Amino acid sequence: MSEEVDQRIERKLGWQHLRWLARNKPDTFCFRDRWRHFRRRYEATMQSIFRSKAGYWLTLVFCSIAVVAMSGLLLWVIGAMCWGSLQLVPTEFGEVTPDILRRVAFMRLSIMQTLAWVVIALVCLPTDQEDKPKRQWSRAAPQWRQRVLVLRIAVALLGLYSMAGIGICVWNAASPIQAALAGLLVAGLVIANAYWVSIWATSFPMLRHLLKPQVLVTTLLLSSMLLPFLFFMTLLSLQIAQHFGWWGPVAWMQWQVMQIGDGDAQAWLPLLVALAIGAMVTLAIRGRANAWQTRRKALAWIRSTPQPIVVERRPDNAAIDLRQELRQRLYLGPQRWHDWFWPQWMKKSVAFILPIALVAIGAQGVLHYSFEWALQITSDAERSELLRTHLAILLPIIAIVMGTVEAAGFFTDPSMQWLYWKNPRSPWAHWRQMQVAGLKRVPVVLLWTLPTCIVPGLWGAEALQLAILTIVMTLLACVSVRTIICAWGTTLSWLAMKRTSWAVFIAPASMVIAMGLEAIAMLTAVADPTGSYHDGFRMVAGQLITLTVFSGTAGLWSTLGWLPLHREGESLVME
Amino acid sequence: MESSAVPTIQFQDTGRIFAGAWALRHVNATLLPGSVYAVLGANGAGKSTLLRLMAGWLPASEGRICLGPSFMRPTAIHLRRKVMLLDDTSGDRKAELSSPVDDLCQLVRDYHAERAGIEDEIANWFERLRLVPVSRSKRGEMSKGQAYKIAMVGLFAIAPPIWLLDEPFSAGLDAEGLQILENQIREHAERGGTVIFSSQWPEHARRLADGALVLHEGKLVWSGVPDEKPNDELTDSAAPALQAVLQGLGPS
Repeated sequence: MSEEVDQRIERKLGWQHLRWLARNKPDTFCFRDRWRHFRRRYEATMQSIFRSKAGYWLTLVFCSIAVVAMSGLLLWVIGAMCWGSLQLVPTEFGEVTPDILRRVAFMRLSIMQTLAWVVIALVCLPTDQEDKPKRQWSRAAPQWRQRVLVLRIAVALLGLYSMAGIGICVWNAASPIQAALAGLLVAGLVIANAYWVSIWATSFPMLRHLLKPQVLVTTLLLSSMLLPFLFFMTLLSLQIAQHFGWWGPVAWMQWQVMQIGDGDAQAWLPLLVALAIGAMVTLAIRGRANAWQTRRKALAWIRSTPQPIVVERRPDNAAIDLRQELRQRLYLGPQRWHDWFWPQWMKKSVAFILPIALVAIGAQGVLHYSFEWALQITSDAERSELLRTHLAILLPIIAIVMGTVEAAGFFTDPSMQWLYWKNPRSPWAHWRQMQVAGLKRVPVVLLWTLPTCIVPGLWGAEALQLAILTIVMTLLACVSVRTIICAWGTTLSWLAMKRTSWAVFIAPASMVIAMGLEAIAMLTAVADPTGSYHDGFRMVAGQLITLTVFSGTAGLWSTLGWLPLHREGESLVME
Repeated sequence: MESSAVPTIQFQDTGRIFAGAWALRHVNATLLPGSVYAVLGANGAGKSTLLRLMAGWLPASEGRICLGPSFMRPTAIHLRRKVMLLDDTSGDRKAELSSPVDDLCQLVRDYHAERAGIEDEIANWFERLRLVPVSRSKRGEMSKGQAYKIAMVGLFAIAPPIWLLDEPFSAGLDAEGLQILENQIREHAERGGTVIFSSQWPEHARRLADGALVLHEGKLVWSGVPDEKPNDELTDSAAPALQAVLQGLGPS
């Protein structure tokens, strides 16, 4: 028995030691002497190589070979995947006309462009540590660094732009495996490009000062991910891309690709030359940015520029500010007119609201293009049905934006408390406070919702009317959701205070009911164009149901028998 | 503060049960306004439960707690506004993410204390307790003592008639904070208010309190003036934890 325990302990300790080694000394992780010696020798050799100038060229040569090999492989994979779509004219386009042939050429172009940009990115955009800004480096030498960054952003954006062709291949590929591979490739490339765009864009001091880095990164990431989807999801975007494609170097490249597509093998040569020149220019700029002359100039500038003196705020000012803040919070609502539309809590939650608003607007844009395209192939009789199906997606987007702003305000509201059993506050006072705070948020919610009304406005009076109805219904749904949250808080509060066995059973049951009703209340937020229930009925029903549940919990709170039964005949000792 | 506004607190056979075990039982005592009381006892004696019952945070399982002519209960909001309890969670740094200003404003609203100039009083207390630098911080960014001081600001500014302090001497307060707290406790009692604090050390009771209640395993075993020595029979027969408390009482 003890041996078994000993073995177990030994094994456990062994594993812990291995974990510690893996985390703290990864180079000595392996116990085998031969491997460890080889590893150390390899490290020493590599270090000695990299210390010398030869290491730089060696790395460059190896990287170039690797890049060429990888890009060749990638080309072969994508070519194999998309062969069907390149050879065949997609059936959706109907009859073969010169216009359709141009679109097919564009698809080929997009694939080739993507490859081109992948090659350029792999050659010119190393993501090593060396290239990250040194201490005060970006401050000292902004011009060169910014040039590199601009180039990188342009490359990544063009990479995103050229995703369109591969995106369509997901649907047009000959087999499901090819489609799946194309889909994986698109997703990976889109995310990678979007990530790098967002990261590089935040390196700009101007942008950094305008917004918090995390806000900017999130926004740019989401919007850059949206961009390629906009390009390959609708036919109209293909046409737009086609027009853009004829300008500048892209037009030249398109011509090249069309030549290659027609079977002209010699057209490869100018393309490769162009890629090589592009890579050399990028490397030259990058080398200049990191050159010792630039660094020396930057260091001289740093030394000549005095450090800014940080002036601490005097305590008197801080105390005066505190008084003003307290006065404002206690007695007044928003003091300045713009506080109604840009309150304090918005600054805290803009990182949450802005990306969702941008994505919502982008999604509406895609929906609009899709609607316009569908109108061209739909008969007048089917137009109404088409509008309804599109509205069924469009209207929830409006409700989601409103709900997001409301939720952000709700969770950052200082007066918001889920549980209030430690405060001398009745459920009704709690409900009143919560609803008043919610009403103060209405101008902000409406302001952020306005941009989402553009697309319904473009779709005509009927769509706009339903959008306005949705806004009204969402505002009312917010009221009922707040009521349900109050009911929930009340239940939890009396459960926390009561702590009796029967309360433990009743409280979860009432909370489940409340949660179910919360879902119903949220569902009443959207005007229902398909007409399952009348909108007015749903609005009133949502309010009544939630108020009934809240009244029930508040009633339980006030009549639960908080005083123990007084036993007759028992003498109470009064000291 | 008018003395008539401060009710007398009477425990009438008060008890509280948690999951079948009595945390407090058969407590009978009267606490007069204008006095400072100490609730003493070892860990698990029922001190915090007694204070929570008095604050209306919990309902009593048996007996009554009378504040003047009314019975204290969680739904008696008008009575709960006469009492404020600073418990150990007041200094809990992880408790909330809200800022002190938000918390205090909410407290002022809940206690209906929106009188003219209260914002100046709060700001003055912030300055006096050296809390201005953390006035915009969140609770999670403060030390335990700073968070407790914020709660103290609410107590001093709102100044309800009955102050309940659960283990204030273990709340991480610095020497200056403790001095201010003790001064305020005395001043509040002089104004006619009632202060009840719990502690594990009888020295605090001897220094501050006019009366002391000693609890042991949920029962009130001794009450009186802290400078009075409990009788030897009780002390000798008590369990070691209780003995340590009782031996600390008496003339210094």
